[in-house]
Amino acid sequence: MENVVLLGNEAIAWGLVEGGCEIVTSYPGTPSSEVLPAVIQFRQKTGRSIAVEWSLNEMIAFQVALGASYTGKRAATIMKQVGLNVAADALMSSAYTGCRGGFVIVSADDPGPYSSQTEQDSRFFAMFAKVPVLDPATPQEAMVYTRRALELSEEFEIPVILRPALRVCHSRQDIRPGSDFTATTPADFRKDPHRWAATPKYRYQLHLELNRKLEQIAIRTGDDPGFTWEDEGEGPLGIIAGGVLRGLVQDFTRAHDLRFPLLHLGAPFPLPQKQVREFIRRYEKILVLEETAPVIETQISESGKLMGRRSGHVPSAGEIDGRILENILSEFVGTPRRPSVSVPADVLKEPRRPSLCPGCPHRSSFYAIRKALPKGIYTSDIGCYTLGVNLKAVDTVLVMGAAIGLAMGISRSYDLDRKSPPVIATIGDSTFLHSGLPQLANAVYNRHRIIVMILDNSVTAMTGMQPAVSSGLLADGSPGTPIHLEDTVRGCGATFLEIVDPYDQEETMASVARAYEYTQSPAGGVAVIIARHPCLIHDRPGGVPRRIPVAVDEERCTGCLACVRNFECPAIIPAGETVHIDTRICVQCGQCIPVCPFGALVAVGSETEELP
Amino acid sequence: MSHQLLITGIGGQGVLFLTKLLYTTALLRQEPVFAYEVHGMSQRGGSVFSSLKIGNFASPQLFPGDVDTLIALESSEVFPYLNFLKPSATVLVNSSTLTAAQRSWLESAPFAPFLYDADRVALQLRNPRVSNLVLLGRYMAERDFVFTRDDILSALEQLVKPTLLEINRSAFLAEE
Repeated sequence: MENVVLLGNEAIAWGLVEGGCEIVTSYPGTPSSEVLPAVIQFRQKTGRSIAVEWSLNEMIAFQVALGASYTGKRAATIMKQVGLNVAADALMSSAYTGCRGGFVIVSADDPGPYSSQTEQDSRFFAMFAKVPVLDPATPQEAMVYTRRALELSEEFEIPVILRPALRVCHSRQDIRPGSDFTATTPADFRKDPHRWAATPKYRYQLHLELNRKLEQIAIRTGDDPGFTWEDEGEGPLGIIAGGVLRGLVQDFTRAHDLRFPLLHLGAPFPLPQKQVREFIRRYEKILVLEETAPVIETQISESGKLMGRRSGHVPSAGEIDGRILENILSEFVGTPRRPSVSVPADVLKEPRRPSLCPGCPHRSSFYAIRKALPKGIYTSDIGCYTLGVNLKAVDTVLVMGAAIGLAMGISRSYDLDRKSPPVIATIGDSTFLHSGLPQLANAVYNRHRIIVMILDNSVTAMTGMQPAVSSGLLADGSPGTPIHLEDTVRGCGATFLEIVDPYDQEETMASVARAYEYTQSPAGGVAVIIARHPCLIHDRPGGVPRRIPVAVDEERCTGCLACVRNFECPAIIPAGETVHIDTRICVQCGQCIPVCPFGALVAVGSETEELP
Repeated sequence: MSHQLLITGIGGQGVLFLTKLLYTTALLRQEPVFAYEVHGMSQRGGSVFSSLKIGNFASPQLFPGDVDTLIALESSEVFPYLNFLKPSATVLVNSSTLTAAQRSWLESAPFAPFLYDADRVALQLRNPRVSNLVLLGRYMAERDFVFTRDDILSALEQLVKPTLLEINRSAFLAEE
């Protein structure tokens, strides 16, 4: 094959396909979301038979793939690092039971963080669960390590985590994909209750066996030049580096013509103790570079000459970028600091903050909620609608599903004090099915007097338009069985259910008011509203069925900026004493018209113009 | 060859497409590439950037003072990245929304920026989305770039659907 430029996530997908994976499952989450679509693309290209699915959450994705591995087939599950928290229960136990067919967990980390709640380190999770982890530095290496992870897993019958960090997932590199495809294996589940259904007594035996496997794996990866190797160098400082930072330090030393002795660790847990000890012995000082937790560092017992996160030489939070690495290393090499260019304040603008797209139905839902219940407490969740924080319609964001969980605790606390502020949880359709369902059942069962508004835009928008379960479309676009949100809500026993179109703001406000009334009525409990309107990025004609061009009546505009503050549409731009509509990005939804207290946002032209 | 580029703008302006065009060009020239793209939340109308390192590199990350070329598709997206530039860097700016203060600062900056209202020309071509190609094309018509115009045109042919090739070509080759 000739060289192609692949995204890191595509390189991982190629490694899975080439490595003979027959089942690949995933739940989308930045920076991991592009792996599964690439598997589907390569499946088509190679004609190999691979079952794929977007599972409803990471725990399910994990179990589906692990079950496949129990039958002897190679399998993989893909998620972002906080997704691994959701799958943690299965991960911890599967370390003991082990697996049969090669089983790889791709857990994409987000040092920074850029699109996550935490910058937790999946390598630490691997250490906690006692499973091996591979930490590729580049897309090329990610492709190779993916395949090696499958092999290692199959040989030792142990789940293996591949931890690509953001800078691997979303980098592109010219790569020559391999074409040495691994043969597939027939499904053959061999009953072995002492292992697959082990009781605590046998669990102890399995733990001993797990420890033996880890000892052998550390020897194996330590002796393998694909995982553990040294760049010779000179001077008193030796560097131990893994993952993305290894590439960064290589680029730095090349640019400055420096030669540090460098020990590469591609498999940081279990640590290849022999090679690490031997390297440390040879140098006066050792700098450990890894992201984001001190996983290599904590496994090293000689701490006297060690510099890293625990000694304060490496910052203990945030991504290590070129600037920070230069700072860390300049202490040792005296690299001259470059003068920085200083730009006056009137020239340098604040970077634009992300905001909901023009015409986004979530904006209309949030606007209606705030109008109907201005004194409410607004818990929310993970998705595009987190950006409702700009509209002051999002007071909390914790983890997937927590909009409902936190709402229950907040409302019950006020109940105890005989107060009843409206508590409104907003949660997207995909997030609701991911982890909101048991929360809703709990709200019904324990009679929590909250409003749950499901923001149903019929797609998983934030992570790149994965199909919604309600559409019935499967990961590869083929038809599946749709699940209707209203059925699941009723199935949980919720009796107050209204379905509104948030583009009908009056009706949405009225529905929110009715919902609050229900929550406070003697027989009332949780009230559910489904706010249903398609995402415009996904379905523009469905999103804006009637185009309503808007203009600013400058006679009426007082420049109060209520529209900018309360509606925050990127197409409404403050301009001196007034505002103007950026027609390049305005989608002509007309949703801003009622927002102006002075009626200065007006519809122009025909209101019934149909889209072509 | 060793050349490092930064391409900046706001979501929807074609930062990713321009990056793809440039790494495809590099690949056609058989140069190794290492690029980085912003995905996820930042795409929603926020500031976006991508980086492209051409040559023998092991990481996509940029170091301060190392960037050879900065292409800003939105004028305000020049300033946050200035520390990355070499003193001799080439800077291309789509100047349509440049304020007077920004313009006068840029005109006296140590690097000599190429300021050009690519949005205006793109609108004349009735396609506001091609301003990225207009900016690059106008610059390359006047000055040297890391690739030739023919290199870029070959990559365009490979990347763009036949039905869209003409508008893209005419944007890249647009004259005053």
